[in-house]
Amino acid sequence: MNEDRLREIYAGLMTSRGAKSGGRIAVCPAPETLLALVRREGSEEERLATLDHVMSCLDCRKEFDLLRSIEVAGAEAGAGARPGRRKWALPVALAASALLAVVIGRFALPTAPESEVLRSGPDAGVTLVAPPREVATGAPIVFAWHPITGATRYRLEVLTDDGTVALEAETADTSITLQGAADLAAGDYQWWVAATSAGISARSTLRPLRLTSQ
Amino acid sequence: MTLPEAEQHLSLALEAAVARFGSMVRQVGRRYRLDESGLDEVMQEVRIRLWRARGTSEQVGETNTSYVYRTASSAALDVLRRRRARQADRHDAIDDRATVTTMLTSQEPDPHATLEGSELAHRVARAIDEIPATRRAPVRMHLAGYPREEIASLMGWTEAKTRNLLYRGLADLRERLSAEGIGWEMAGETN
Repeated sequence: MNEDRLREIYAGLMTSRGAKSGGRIAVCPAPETLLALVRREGSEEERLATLDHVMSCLDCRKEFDLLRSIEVAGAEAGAGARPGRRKWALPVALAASALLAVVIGRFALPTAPESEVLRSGPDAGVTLVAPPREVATGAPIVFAWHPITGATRYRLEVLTDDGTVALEAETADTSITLQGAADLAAGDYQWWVAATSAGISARSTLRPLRLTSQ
Repeated sequence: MTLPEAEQHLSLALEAAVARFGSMVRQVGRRYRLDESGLDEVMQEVRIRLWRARGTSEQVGETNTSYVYRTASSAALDVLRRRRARQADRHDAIDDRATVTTMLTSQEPDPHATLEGSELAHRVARAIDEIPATRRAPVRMHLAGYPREEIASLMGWTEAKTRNLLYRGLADLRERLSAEGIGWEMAGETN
């Protein structure tokens, strides 16, 4: 046995595992876990376990190569997340500051009634793109907005005229199709988006949305 | 600028941004022997998402590499999820057919099964599985053809640590293969 022969056997093992399992092994890590490996997020122990699987599963390896190529290209273009940064440090500090601010605010400021809770403000940062202000009822609606640097999740709310949440959704993307919007009655609504990632407080202003009968 | 001209301008800007980033990913992907069919699907998804999100003049300004990269990263996850779902559906269908086929006909020998069934492959797989966890993943990566620099970069290890873990992992593997009665030729060994 030499190393070339060993690699040959190893390649055969990977191929045959994929074929035997119909192209997928039941314990394959989720795509997000592969992305975490590529971005060097999580403990070394977790990443080693994921890597151990990826390097013994042909399908996961292809997915890993795809995600890694995109991340490396992004990093080389100066756009990607730098892998290996201590990403917990900033969010923890911001969370601690936010908690302190909440505690101080709780005791120092008068409490506003629920109906007066401010849902957007001068620090609004998410720019809404679609839908337009008037849409016909009876069909799903595509909501879209511009990305916020550093944000990994967004929360969308559609509110009725009196401020009640009619629809809500969370996504990692900057657009989402709300199937439930097809069931909304004609009328005036408002919608807004907030970046929910740790350490990010960007949000949009409220945008009116009128649903008209077809 | 008329509306059709503006639309065309936007369309060209989007296409240029997607093409630029796609080309960068392809260039990187060649280092990893990337299967480009997956990338094509992702870039098509990026194109659709950027097109859907178009509509304001500021959008054109924001169609930079950073924006395309973020869209591509998110689109890739969705593409992988969809592919897995399709695979699962196909697998279920194959399973159903296979059950019927097994009942009706005798099984033909499967070349993959023959390979996996070979005693040598089994012993190699077993020997690798027995390597301590911290060294096993780098050994697998090495056997899969990734250079040492790539292992170091992915794990955030220094070159020295990577070399050490790999060296010791391969030594573990040779030891276990020897215990299985598989001799080792030193020529062609890495470090």
